[in-house]
Amino acid sequence: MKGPKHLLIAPPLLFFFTISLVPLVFTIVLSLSGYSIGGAFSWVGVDNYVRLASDPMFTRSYANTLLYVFVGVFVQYWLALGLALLVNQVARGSQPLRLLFLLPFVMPPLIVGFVWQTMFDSRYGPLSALLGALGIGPVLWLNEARLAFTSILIVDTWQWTPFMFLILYAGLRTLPREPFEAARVDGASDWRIFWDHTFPMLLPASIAAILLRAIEAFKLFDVVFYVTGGGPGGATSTVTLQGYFTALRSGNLGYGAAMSIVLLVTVMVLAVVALLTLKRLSSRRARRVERKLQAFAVEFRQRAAP
Amino acid sequence: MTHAPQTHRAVWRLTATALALGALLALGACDRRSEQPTAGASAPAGGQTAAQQRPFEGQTVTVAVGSFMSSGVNMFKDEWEKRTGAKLQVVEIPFGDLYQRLFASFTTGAGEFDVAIYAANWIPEFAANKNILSLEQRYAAKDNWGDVLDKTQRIMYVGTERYSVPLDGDVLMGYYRKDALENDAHKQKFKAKYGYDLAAPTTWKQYRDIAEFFNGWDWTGDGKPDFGVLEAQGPKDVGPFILLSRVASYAANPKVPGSLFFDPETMEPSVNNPGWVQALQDWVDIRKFGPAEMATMGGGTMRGNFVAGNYALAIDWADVGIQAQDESASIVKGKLGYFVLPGSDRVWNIKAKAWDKFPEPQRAPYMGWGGWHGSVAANSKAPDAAWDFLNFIDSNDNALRAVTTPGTARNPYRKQHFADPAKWEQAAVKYKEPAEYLQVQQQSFTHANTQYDLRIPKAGRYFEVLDNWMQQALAGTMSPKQALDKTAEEWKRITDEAGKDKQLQLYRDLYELKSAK
Repeated sequence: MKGPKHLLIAPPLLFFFTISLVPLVFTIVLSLSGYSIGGAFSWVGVDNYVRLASDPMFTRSYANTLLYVFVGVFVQYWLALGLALLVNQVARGSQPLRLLFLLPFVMPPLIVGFVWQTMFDSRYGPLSALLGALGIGPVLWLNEARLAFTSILIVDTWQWTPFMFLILYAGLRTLPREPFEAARVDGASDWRIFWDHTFPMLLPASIAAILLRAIEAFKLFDVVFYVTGGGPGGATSTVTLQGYFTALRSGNLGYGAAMSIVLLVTVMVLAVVALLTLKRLSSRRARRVERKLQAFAVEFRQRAAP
Repeated sequence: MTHAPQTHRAVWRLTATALALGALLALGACDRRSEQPTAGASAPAGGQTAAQQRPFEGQTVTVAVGSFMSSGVNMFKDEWEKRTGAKLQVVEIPFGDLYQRLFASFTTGAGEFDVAIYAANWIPEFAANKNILSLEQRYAAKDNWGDVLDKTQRIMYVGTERYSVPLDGDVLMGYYRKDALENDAHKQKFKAKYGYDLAAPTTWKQYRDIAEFFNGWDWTGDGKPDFGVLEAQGPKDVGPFILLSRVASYAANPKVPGSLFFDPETMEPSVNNPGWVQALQDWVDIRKFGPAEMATMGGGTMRGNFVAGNYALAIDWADVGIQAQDESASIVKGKLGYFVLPGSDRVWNIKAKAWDKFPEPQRAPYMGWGGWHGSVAANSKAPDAAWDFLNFIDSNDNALRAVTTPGTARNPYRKQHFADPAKWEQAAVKYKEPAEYLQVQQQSFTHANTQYDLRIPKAGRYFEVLDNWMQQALAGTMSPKQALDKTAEEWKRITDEAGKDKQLQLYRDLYELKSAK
């Protein structure tokens, strides 16, 4: 009787195997070869990885990618949380606000790139006009290395904060009211309510938002491609962009595949570390919350008893 | 328990239905493919006359073309289809992906395209790999070959055979604003500052002086400061070709033919010699005389900005001239002057390892990119129809129509295109005062020291590497010498990968040098 059951799960398993594992294995094999389009297949072992370690273009792209992820996600999380808390307090009119906040997230990357390239233009852009009116400028947003990097972070934050906002807002809406009411009755300040109740109870949603966003941030490509092309001098380049140019423009598939595998391993390691760390944190906080809830329940029973 | 057998039956029915539907779809696709007739198989039953009038009835010709040139193909689609009875499918490929897409299609034998329209520089590589058909025998019937410019003719040959139909002529040239350089007040001030007359530059030093002079002040009277120069310095675009516009005059020594890219005896890269370093230094220095946004501009963006803004000088192909005529987007119609790429009074000699000094500036117009050419894919199932289409869009009338229509990316390449400026004034482009525009291009094509672009296999990769490192110099993270030394290192590796002897032989053949020992 088990036979038909196993046969029935074969199609989704086959689908998963074909879509996920086969391309991954293929990419790993490619990364161990010196294959380029039109050339002969040859094994090079770990030569591509050794070369990556000393390739200044790649190491810069790798460092940029890590910075985009850590700095970008950090800023986006706190911005999104702040927005979610504000909108959560709005009694009427929160739906139009939410829709407005979501607009950057739903815009096509090409439009985002074009809009921000124009915004940053030191000759015609509104940002330059605004700063000029304040006596600042001209600011070379896209032409100086650090500024260009910051500009990409600004665009990325503008585009993806709504995504985090959506998850955190949904999380806020599902929190129970009673602990907050009790805390207010006890005279707790807004900060204490946030730090002792809101933030710990929102941890599951926060973990989800941060993880999903971080994984996506590692793949940053479109904004950089359209706004700076990776310049000036590779100052804004990412691993994905570098991999694209190497594999699909230069035809150096083996070397490009090695870049992809390095990125994949990095994401996996960081995801595991993040999950373990946050699990420990959340279990510690969860125990604290549980103790507080238990103390609240005991006090409530005492007060309610005749 | 009573539900389980029913559930199983439902699932099996569903699976069987899905499989049946899938099989039907697959059969349907097969049926559609088999409907395409082979050449000649679909001659109408009306007799020979109808077949002759529509000789390729029922056939489909798939054309792969880079995005810039797609309108130059689509404008002839309906007419050709009506004339021949064939169907034309145009596959537009993003410019940056064109080489890889074509290469992948050819090497995998996918047979996606009957016609490929691409850069003339790639002809030797595709021909050597037998990806494209030799058209030599077909040329016997082509009646307008002699009208093609000599240098454009030359780049179509691999050995003694032609592999393409020319559709475009590419040579870089200079543009200047007449309201800047021909203004008497500006001329006085310029002479007072630099000690020579203000005119279209003949050397790169003059080009730099003019750019400096016109940068940062309002020479148009619109109340805003204007710029001295605008060039496409952005990454992963046409930057290497713009750089080479300068390099050619410093490094293409007429005493050492073929030494622009490599030593034609040893295949050692020339890319880090003092001629190249000087050119890249010039290009880095010019940044201060244009808008900061130049660092991110590709060719298309640069053109749009130049014709819509106030910049005294620019370097580009002939496309800026065409784009300048569109008054809905251009403020410079009738305000442009033109010049052959400036030269240098010293040119690096790779044999003497010293600068050769010349009494007059040595110019070296540069045929960057080589122009769009069309070839018939070796595994095309409709080679006759493919050739017919290419021949059709290269007919005298259609070629002139294409080069005088905005947006086709087809620039003049036949002698008749330069013969009558009045045709440009009357054509779709409505070119204002085209005589000088055409004259400068013609001079560039016929100059004794005009340089071809790099045409050996992996030319794209050599340029990709050059682009990566020159961007570092432009960004100031390394000196031009350091950047070009890195470029030379990687160029050596690419040459070794491709086979040094093979590359050397082909390089010498393309420069018509005798075989290396």
